[in-house]
Amino acid sequence: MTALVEARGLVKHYPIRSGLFGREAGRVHAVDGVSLRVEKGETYALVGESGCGKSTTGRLLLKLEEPTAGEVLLDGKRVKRLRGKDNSGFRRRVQAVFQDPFSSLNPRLDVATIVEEGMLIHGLYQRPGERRERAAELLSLVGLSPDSLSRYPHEFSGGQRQRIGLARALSTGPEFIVADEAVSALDVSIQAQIINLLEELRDRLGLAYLFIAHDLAVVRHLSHRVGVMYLGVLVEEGPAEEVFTQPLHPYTEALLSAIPDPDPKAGRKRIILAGDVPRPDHPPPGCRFHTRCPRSRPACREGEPAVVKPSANRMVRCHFLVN
Amino acid sequence: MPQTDYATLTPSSPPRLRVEGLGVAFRVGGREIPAVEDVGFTLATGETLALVGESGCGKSVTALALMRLLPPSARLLGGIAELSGVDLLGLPEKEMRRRRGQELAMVFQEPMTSFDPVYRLGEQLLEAIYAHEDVSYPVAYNRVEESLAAVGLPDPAGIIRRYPHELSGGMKQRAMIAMALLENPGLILCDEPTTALDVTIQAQIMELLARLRDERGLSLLFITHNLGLVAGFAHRVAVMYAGSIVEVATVEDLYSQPSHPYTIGLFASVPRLEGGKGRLVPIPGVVPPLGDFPPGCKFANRCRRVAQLCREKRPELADLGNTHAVACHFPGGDDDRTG
Repeated sequence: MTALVEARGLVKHYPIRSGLFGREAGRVHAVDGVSLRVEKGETYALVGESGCGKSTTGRLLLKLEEPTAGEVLLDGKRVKRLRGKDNSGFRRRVQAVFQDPFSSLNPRLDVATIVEEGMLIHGLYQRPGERRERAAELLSLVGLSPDSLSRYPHEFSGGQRQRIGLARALSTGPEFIVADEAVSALDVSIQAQIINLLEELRDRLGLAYLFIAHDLAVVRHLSHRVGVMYLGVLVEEGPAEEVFTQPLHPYTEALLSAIPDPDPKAGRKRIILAGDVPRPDHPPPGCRFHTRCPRSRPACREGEPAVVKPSANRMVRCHFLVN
Repeated sequence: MPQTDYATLTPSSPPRLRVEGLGVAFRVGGREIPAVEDVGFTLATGETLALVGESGCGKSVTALALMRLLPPSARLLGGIAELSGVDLLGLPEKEMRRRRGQELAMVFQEPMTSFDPVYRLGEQLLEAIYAHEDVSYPVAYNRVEESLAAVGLPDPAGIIRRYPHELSGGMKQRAMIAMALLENPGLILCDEPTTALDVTIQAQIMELLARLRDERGLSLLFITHNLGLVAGFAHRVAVMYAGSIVEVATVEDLYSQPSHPYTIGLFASVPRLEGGKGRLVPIPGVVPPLGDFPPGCKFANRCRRVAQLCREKRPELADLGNTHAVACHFPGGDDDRTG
């Protein structure tokens, strides 16, 4: 079966330049061989700590960055380098919602212009009246009153701005939305409103999401499948229910145990990892997690762990699996 | 995380910190806008009180008022804040300056911006000692080294020579805590100390704070928006909404029997790691803008239980017994939790 969106062996290295002639002094290994598939109507969550490469992976899937190696496929067809006019319909079918609802909307444009811009670029409606009508529809779809059209972003709260961002993403009728920390900047009572909205839209419009987040409780609530990244590598992948109840990689296990749970009686086992994430310009040899892994053995320092598939829909990269 | 048994703390001894009727307003365009209204609480020796609430609820402003570090646009409307029997709010600036660091200190959210980027960490920590004491360089240097070791930083002598940008976020927050501990204050105000950090690093810092608190009998005022973080760490919790404390209780009581509709709503809004997949129950609407508070209950416009009385009269914090207090005309019950 062809996935809606697929990443094959995505690699992104950024050169570190120094000196008078910009000699390449090193390379930041932001993403180092990530492959994943997102099916129609599915929410795939990418989790991990800052600098693990989850946002870069999102940008590569959006074709906002060109990969150093690897490719992105839409409906099984390879997406070519996008430059200028996009004839493949990729930009129309794939949209994004970003983290910061304050900097992701142009403060000089009114809401109508923001929401209609995508339709205009893709020539979706011929008459301005039709675009305006559609923009009003989209606003009520995301829970804003249509008279917001003539207002400016600064007149809205963070949660409302995130709704505008969603209306803008939906304006081209996309099938796949990359939501990069789309609810992280919001207060919990507002966050819940946006999470519910994302779910409603997914069910109503059959959208697929790549949901990039560091809040694992939100991820478990919202997603079907989860990929856990560490230092540019996908270390574990599987159905959300299974990964959360039975993590196989020691990093996933530690990450889950570090989440504070709002129940004083829960008394979950805690694993506190020592030290910091190593620098991505010098990833450690062997398994990238061995410097912080509570189960590290000599073999972990030598060979990079191979992909293990304990069941049809799970993947893990570790020499010594949890149990 | 080690759990201190709150019951063993002696409630008969006078609290280390007692705050009453604290009010702060900001001057904006010729208008005075209240940000904190009639806030009061106590904090015993060795106790941790968490101040929980969403952005703009006044939790940080409360801490800054106690430190007397409010920005110039803010005005103290009144109240007292007694630390070991002395009202901090009435002290002359010179006296207050001595107490900052020696009796109370603050750890801020942003370890990235809390240090001066152009000075080595050692110089900044030494300066904090010299500001209070006339001691020789070797004495001060040793104390800095000890403090850095106490917060679990490897190679303290090396850290002293480093610039802030050379440390990771977690290490910087450790250095910040080391700086707060230099003069051995009994009260530390922590303003979202782990919010800017990754979860695995957050777990390290929380473990460190719990250890230091238990070893040294520190009183902590722990400000956060994260209800989960508080559960395994604080003894009591005060929930703030739109500038006021709406509920205060021990951690166990608050989590098992939240009584203010806002607290109940907060719990229903948070997705649970162990929880099911059902839709979350968000709190409808938004917080009323500062300066536009209704005459009655400030939560009335978002509350499912709202009645005529709520729109007319502002509820006061009233004791439900067992040190559980709530500011609501119709407190208790969680029958509206599901919808």
